[in-house]
Amino acid sequence: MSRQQPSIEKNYLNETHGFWSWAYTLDHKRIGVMYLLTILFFFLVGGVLGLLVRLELLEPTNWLVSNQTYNEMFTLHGVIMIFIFVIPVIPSALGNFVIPLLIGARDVAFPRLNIASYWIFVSGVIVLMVSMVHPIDTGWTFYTPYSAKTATSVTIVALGIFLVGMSSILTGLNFIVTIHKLRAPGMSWHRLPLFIWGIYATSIINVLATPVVGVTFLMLLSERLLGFGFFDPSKGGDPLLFQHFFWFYSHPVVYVMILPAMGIISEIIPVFTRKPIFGYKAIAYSSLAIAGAGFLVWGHHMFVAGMSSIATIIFSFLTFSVAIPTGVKVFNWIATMYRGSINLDSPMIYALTFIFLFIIGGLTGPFLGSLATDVHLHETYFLVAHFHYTIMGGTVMGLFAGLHYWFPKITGRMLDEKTAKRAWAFILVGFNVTFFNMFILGFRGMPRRYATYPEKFQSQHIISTVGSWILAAGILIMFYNFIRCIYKGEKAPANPWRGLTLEWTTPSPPPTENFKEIPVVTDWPYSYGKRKDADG
Amino acid sequence: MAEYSEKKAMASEGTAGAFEKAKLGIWAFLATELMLFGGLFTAYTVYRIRYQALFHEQHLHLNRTFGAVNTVILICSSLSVAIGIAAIKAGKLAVLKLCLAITLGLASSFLFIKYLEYSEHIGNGELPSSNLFFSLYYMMTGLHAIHVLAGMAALTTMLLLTNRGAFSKEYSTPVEITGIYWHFVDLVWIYLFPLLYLIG
Amino acid sequence: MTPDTYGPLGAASKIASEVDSVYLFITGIALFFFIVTQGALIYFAFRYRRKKGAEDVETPYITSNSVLEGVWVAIPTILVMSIFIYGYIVWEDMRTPLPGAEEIHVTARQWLFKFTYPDGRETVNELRIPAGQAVKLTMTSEDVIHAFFVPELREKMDILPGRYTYLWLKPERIGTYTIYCTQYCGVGHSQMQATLYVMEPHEYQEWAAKQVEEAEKSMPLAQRGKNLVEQSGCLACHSTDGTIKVGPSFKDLFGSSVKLSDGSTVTADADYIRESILDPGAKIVSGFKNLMPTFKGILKDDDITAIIAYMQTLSARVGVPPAAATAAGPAGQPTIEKGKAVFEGKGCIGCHSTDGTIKVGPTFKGLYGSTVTLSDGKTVKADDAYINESILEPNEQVVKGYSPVMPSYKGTVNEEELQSVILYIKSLK
Repeated sequence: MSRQQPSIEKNYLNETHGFWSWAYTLDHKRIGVMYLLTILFFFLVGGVLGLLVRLELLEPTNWLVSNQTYNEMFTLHGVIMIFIFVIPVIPSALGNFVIPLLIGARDVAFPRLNIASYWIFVSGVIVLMVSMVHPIDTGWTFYTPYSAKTATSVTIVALGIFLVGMSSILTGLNFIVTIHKLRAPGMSWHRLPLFIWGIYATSIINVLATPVVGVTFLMLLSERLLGFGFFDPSKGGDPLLFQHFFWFYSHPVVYVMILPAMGIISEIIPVFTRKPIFGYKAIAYSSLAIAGAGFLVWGHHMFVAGMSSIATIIFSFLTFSVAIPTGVKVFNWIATMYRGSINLDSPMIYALTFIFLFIIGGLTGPFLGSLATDVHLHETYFLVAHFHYTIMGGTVMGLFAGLHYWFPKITGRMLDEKTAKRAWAFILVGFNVTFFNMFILGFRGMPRRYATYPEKFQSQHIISTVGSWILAAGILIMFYNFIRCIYKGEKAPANPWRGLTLEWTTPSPPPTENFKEIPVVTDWPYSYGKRKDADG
Repeated sequence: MAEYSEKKAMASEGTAGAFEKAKLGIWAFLATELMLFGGLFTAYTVYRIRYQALFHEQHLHLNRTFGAVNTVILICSSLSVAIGIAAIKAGKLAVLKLCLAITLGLASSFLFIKYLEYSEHIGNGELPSSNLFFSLYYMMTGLHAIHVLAGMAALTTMLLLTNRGAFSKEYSTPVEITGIYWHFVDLVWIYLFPLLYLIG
Repeated sequence: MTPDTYGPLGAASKIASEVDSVYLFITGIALFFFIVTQGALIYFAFRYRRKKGAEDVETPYITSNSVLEGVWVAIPTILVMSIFIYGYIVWEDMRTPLPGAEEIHVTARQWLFKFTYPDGRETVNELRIPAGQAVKLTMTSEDVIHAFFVPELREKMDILPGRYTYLWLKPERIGTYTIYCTQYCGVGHSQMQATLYVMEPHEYQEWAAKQVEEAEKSMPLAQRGKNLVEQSGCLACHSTDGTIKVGPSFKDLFGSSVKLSDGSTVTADADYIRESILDPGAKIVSGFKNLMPTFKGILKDDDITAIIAYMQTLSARVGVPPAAATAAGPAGQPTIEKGKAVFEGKGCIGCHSTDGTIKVGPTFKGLYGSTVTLSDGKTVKADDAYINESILEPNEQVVKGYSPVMPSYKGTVNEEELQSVILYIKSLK
């Protein structure tokens, strides 16, 4: 169906007006949009901090800012990017918008919980911003004893993260119940879109892992405020216990970051290759496998932290287990492209970029999972490069792919393809220039979290900083495209990409109630191409 | 087709599916609470193994009588909630109201006794910063007490809603959900009591 | 001679080159997957792309292939397991110290590394190891978590407060290497580095001997005397607490009246002690036998001076004559050398350089007598009073461009140390 929509048709954007109609909305689509705008704003803030960090690193000395300011900048960059941006962006923003549409429901299971989650998120963000009155400098990892002793506003930040985490938990809970109970008739588990499988696995992790970081920060707070001795050696406590608790959450959380992005790629590839996704069950179950295995490997952040030998060995062994289901997905996506009819429009270009960059990030994982080499590479720029390739080259590219893919559905407008591709070129080049040479920098011994450094590393730092400017330019062009096309973009049809998932059966943008009638599902959503047997 | 309408019902647009949703929701929420307290139980285990003598010596400073009384109080409060829910499912509003009130009363007594205990400890100079045992004691019972308060807030809301006639034989989902939550709060204490007060 | 060929990646020891072999192994496997996957990705993207404006090509309905799934689970599993095993084997070597490894203690604190050698010598931010010598570093922190990292040795370990972690090294390539702190530890983290000197064995011996010599010279006299008394065997016959052993006790000896075997009395002054050491039979104390051996040729003149200074400290007698002054400076007098020792030992070196480099705090080079701009814009002259206040009340006047993170040394340094530090700073032009 590709008839033009008359501009005065009622949809979720124009049905009601006014601040309170948004602030108190129960419509998952509006909530998703609010999350998206809030989070993308902070993405830019975090990005500016990243640019400033790179700017200081142009010279080996404190030429721009003092040690203290630099340490605050990289800490804030990490805290904002991880807790306010990467963790919630796909699930709470895109997910909220798209999940009920994908499963043929009118809304999520608990709409009031959903809007409450949003405001809890916002309150957490406000608390984090308040902390900037006295910025913290502990790094986003808050290792004790430093974080327990330092005078900066660790307490306030811990509270902010607690609130933001609470929002993740409640959203995850909402999604689990939604996926279990609100699927359209006929949508069995094996007819679920793969994005939903990804979100399902993500939500399980959110629900089980986030409380652990919650209690960890509670313990840190009580140590700071009331003199509890959990992590203080002078009271018999153990700084390593903090690390175990912290990473028990923070490792699974990287799978919270990547699984939804992988789900987006699994949606885009079949549509843009006009072929069924290759290995549906393998991809679906690998999401669960990644989520499960992700809980077993947290110690690989602590190989040189002073753990016992046996623990160190076990964690290294288990770490490699996560590589297998991850590889399964990559192979299946590429196999889907075989003999496809590939449309290289912007969603697909970003999806392919995701795969390309994530492969690099993933292949640098074994260097860190292997004990002998991790000793050398831990806490160096190699690690910084690895996680930027997997998180930015992975999740953020997946986000960009999803934004380009669902932009027509969310806004009712098409993006300008030329501008999109121009932005993409800058982003691809800028990203690689910034981060690839960090692998070598790290191998040569450049430690992370250093405001000043030995002169011999300067030329590589200059390359990375210049790369960051190219990357920033690309992102600005992309945002320009978004903003301009919201107002001036070509009107979007209901199904611009000729996709088979349910969201494309609604108008662009959808009406508040999503579907006139709840659809009945008779086939899986990847029936592209000529089938030998015609029925479902 | 019968199959079709059955599946359509699955789309839960009315209150028929609401209970299903709510039940799954509260169990998912309890999973998060399990992980929250699980962290503290893990810390307890780690330090207990490391400092056996300290834990043995310090745990004797806890008031077992108060602890035991509190355990009985919470178990009775779970009973009263269960009776209340059975009552509303049979349409007996008055019994539900009474049971909710009793539960709230018992919960308040629990908190009052905890207040007495804490005062006693603080008077003896047994503070969270004194040693690891007391850090864990205050942290675990403190977090539990916060959950008791949250449960009381939910129970009070249920009582107010019952007064307004929100519940009936057909619809009592929020009360049942609150009951499940309250049982969990009780369960956590049933683990806390022996671990902190009894094991030497 | 140790070979200089540990591979093109700059490895400075045999173990480091073994780690490099693991690198090559993983790189090989990673490269294989990279070429296969990226190759297929890019090839398919081009080969099967739809021409602009063209109709869809009919695509085959392929949904899965169990054999393929099996293959790309089995092969990666085998390959990653081999990576794990190889990495583990080499790591096991990295964690097993060679027997006979020399133990060096490392104490980390914000923002310096202190090394203590088996013979008691201490250096700050400087670790010297003879090439080919196995060394076991036992490490602890005085405050927060730090780490010890030498890239060329491929070795790293966190340093924790309240417990010990260890690292063993056997550097073989001669050279100068940087030791980095790689666990964020506060404002001075980026400047927390030490230097590792891997030296030719005979050069190391020379240096070690010189260290002992200098240590003795700069040590407080009485302390040196105490060490000598303990190390030279005097305590086998003489106590320091009043107990009568083979010979008289040293307690309260100096300055006292001593009755000799021939009935005369002498005052136990500096000359008396000196004579007792070099010519013990000249005067025998009443009630004791002539058993003491001479220490002529064993104890030098300045050793004896140190022992005399030590004896004085064992005497509670009022009006004890002052010890003779020596090159090290009279006990109780501030000196530049003492100031340098305080600068290193009390941790100033963690934040202040002496060569002009800006670290956490201002450099001491050229500081004394200069005009300092404070955070509020006012200027002061860095004179004795200013330095005095900076040490005892550091946050009263903070230098512009620096954070108020310096701790107070009130109670940590005594008056003599304070004055010595001022002298030292004065000397750094």
